[in-house]
Amino acid sequence: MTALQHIITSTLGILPELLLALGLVFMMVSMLRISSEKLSSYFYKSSLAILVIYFIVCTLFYNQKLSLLSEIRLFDGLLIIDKQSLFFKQMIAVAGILMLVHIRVFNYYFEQEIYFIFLNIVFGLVIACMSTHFIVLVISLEMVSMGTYVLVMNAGKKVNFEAALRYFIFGCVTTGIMLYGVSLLYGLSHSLDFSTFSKEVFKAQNPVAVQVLCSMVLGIVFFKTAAFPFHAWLPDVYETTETPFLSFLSFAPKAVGFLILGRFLQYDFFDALPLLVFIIIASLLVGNLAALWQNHSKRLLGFSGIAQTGFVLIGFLTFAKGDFYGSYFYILSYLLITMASFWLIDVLFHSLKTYDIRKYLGYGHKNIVLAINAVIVMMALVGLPPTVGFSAKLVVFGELLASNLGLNQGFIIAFVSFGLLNMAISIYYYLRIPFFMLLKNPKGPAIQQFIDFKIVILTYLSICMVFMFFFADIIGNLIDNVIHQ
Amino acid sequence: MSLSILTIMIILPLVGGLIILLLPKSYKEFYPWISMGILVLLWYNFLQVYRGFDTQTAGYQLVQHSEWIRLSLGKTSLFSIQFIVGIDGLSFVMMLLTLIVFSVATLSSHKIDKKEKAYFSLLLLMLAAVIGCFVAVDFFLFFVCFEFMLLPMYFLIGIWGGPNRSYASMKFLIYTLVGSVLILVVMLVTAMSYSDEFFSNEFKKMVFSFDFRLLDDFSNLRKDGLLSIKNPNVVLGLPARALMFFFLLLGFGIKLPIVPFHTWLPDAHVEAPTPISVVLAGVLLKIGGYGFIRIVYGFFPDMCAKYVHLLGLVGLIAIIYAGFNALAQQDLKKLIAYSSVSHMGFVLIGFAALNAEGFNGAVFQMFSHGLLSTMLFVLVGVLYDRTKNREIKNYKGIVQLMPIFSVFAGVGFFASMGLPGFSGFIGEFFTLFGGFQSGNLPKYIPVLGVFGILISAVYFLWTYQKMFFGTLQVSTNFESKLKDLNLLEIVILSSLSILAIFYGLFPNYLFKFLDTTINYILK
Repeated sequence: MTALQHIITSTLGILPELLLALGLVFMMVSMLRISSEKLSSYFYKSSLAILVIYFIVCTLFYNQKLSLLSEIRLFDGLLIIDKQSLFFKQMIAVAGILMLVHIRVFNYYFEQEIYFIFLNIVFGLVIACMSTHFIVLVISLEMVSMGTYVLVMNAGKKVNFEAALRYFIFGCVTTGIMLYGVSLLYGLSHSLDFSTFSKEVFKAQNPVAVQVLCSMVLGIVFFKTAAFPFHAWLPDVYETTETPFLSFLSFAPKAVGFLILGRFLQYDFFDALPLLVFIIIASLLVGNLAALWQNHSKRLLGFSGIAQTGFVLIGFLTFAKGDFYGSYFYILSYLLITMASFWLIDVLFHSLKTYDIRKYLGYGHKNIVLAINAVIVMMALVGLPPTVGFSAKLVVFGELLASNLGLNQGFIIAFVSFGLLNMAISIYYYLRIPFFMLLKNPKGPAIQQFIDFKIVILTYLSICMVFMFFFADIIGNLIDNVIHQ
Repeated sequence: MSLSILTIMIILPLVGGLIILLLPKSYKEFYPWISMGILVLLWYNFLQVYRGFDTQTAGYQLVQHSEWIRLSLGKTSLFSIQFIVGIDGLSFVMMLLTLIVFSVATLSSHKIDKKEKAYFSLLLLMLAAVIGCFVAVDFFLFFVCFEFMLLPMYFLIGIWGGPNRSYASMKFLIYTLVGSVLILVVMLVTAMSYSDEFFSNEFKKMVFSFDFRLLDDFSNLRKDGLLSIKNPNVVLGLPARALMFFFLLLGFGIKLPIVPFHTWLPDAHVEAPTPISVVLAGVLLKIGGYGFIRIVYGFFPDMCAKYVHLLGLVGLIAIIYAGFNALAQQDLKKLIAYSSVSHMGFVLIGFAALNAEGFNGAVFQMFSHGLLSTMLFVLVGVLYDRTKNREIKNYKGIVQLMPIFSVFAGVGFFASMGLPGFSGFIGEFFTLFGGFQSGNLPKYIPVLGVFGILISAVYFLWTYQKMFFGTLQVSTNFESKLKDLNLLEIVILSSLSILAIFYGLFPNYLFKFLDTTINYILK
């Protein structure tokens, strides 16, 4: 097979991404043709259409391809197509579609470029899903980061620039650290593709050096997932970014970060355990303890996101088996929960014009359906039954306990108890939203408000969360299918 | 799939709650009636259960068993969560208590004057969770119901409670959640130490099941499991089994409550409205005791035998410490709350005796305390409804204003301090008798336990004398408000008194359900 043939077959092998890229080009060209008044709504519609088409094509195309082979490598191993990447791409597309729905339902107006940049981010994310090659990863993740800075800045206030700048600097530093680690790892292994790494490759090297280098490389993952040492950008970004972007940005880059982490860890070529344990404990504590003091609802969700990252990372402790069932379960349920939680915050903001939790005072009495939804969403975030949040925590901790790692059993039990006790801490701040809505008396007369379309969708999401608890098999089988082909 | 009668009993309150939720506000006078209707249906179903119940059968009866959730845990293992409900003597008695207490709570809920819809739906939601807790034969189902009680209770205290309600409800929530988190850890570890041979072969995976009937049989323990008896594992400096036992002790102990972790209870009681106090003291505390017998003894009988001294001591401290606390209270409701803590201590002593007398006594004490604390909280509610004041010192000689009330208060107080002829006596007598009989328990524990009865006599008699006897001394604006009982209150209080006297005179009507089950559990 000649090189040209190889490139052509490989290019056709990523047809859905090709369509996405073509959609982007199409949008760029149409910018020249259409009058600027209509452009925003036109871009909104086309990006929604592109995402929906992408989702469908992606599902059909890759399912057909993967029915024969469990893993396809394209572009000489630069891209890798397997069920995991398909699963994450689908989740990203769903998150993107939900974000666009969010924009329309809440009547946000954004300039046309925003949609273009948003699709760019999606493109970067789906490429990052498909790679175990450092260069592809850096390029695609930078594509994501660049777009993200713009989304964070979009509201145009001073605080937005501040947050975006902080995000930008953090992103650059972590990318720099990663590249430094990559270059040194390349020196040790003569490979930029970490799927070739194994204990054999690094046999002759100092294990501590390998550990340090890998930690440097993983920095970018922890940055994307907002884990402990790289979380400092997060509160400001959450506080200032517009909510629809946030609902996407708090999920999609995180999910991709977890996928990369999973791929990186599954080859089990270095001892990641101390690093992971440290990051989990620190993330849980920092996230939970900082969230206790927040009054700004989005900031609260931001800090709680750090703690949620800690919970997902617990599922990665079983990396030696290459089995991340618990984490993927958690990530999928987190998609639902995080979308619902930002939706809830935005409903409250649109009714009360504030993000200050203390100003939600008694609002639940005026809108009881919204209050019930708030309770369910917060229960899911804490992880109380009967919501899917509980199933997710059950699976993550169950997997850890069942894994029989070479670890000290006492350590595992202490760790599980620590993780679950964090759940008890988190109930305090999560319940503050329903607390102020329901337990405090309203100011003024309690007039029932109409239930509008926003609340109907939120109710659907809540019902979904409860339903998924009683029929957790559905998620379970889905992920079984992804992981154990 | 046909639904067993027990499943229907879980579903009925949920349906009732849904009906109330969907009925428009203009029908709000029907909400209590719907709740009552649901309770009548439950009583009817319970009667059917009673007819079908065989007191000679030891295991679970009327079992419904169906697959629920199957969650794989990686490549090698699987959680098999099943929906199993069944009833044995222990859960039968607890169900009886639940229905009595919730009937009283619903009857005394007519005073609720804001957000009736939410109130009655939450009450029914909690009823479903409590019934689910008592009929669950699957640890997962039990735990889900156990957790599911938290939030309805949180809102019931938090929305309809007194002035300091938000603090009290949050404290209740955090304490109980910490407890249930510990139980969750034990649930996971326990399930993973047993294996279901049959299903494991079928799925070619390790299958972890939460079935009580699997978990309380040592022959199913995996040899390499964490809780294995043959190869004791040491974790965190303690044998694994002991550590799990302590987690459970703490988890159910917070609910019971045992002494250093009891502080949420007086706060919650003081703030909660009367019907909610009734439910809290009458049923929710019993779930702690039920958990001790069903789960702590069911899964860790060896550890119970080993730490029997500790269990007894914890119970004793609760009796004495809470008794002295009750002596010092100014607030009548707080006094009763502390007396609850003290009385639940007897449950632990009976439990620590680890013999048939002790266990029977412990269950009887739970049942009897359920009746009596319900009665006492209704009595406090009567006073509070009239004057919005519960300070003991503000009332003197009210027998002259409220003679019928004073009679019932006398019955309640005397029954609670364990006077022979009332159910309280039987419970305390059998727990202490079990304690004396027990070969393992040091004798000083039941001896000092008797001293606890003395303390309770002191504070109940003292309070009764201060409040009801002597010359009438209440402030003038109280005097007009202190009307005697109305018909509904008389009905509630008289039926509770009759029950307390009936079970005091004929304890056998309760013991006959318990004997076979307790002997089976003890074996």
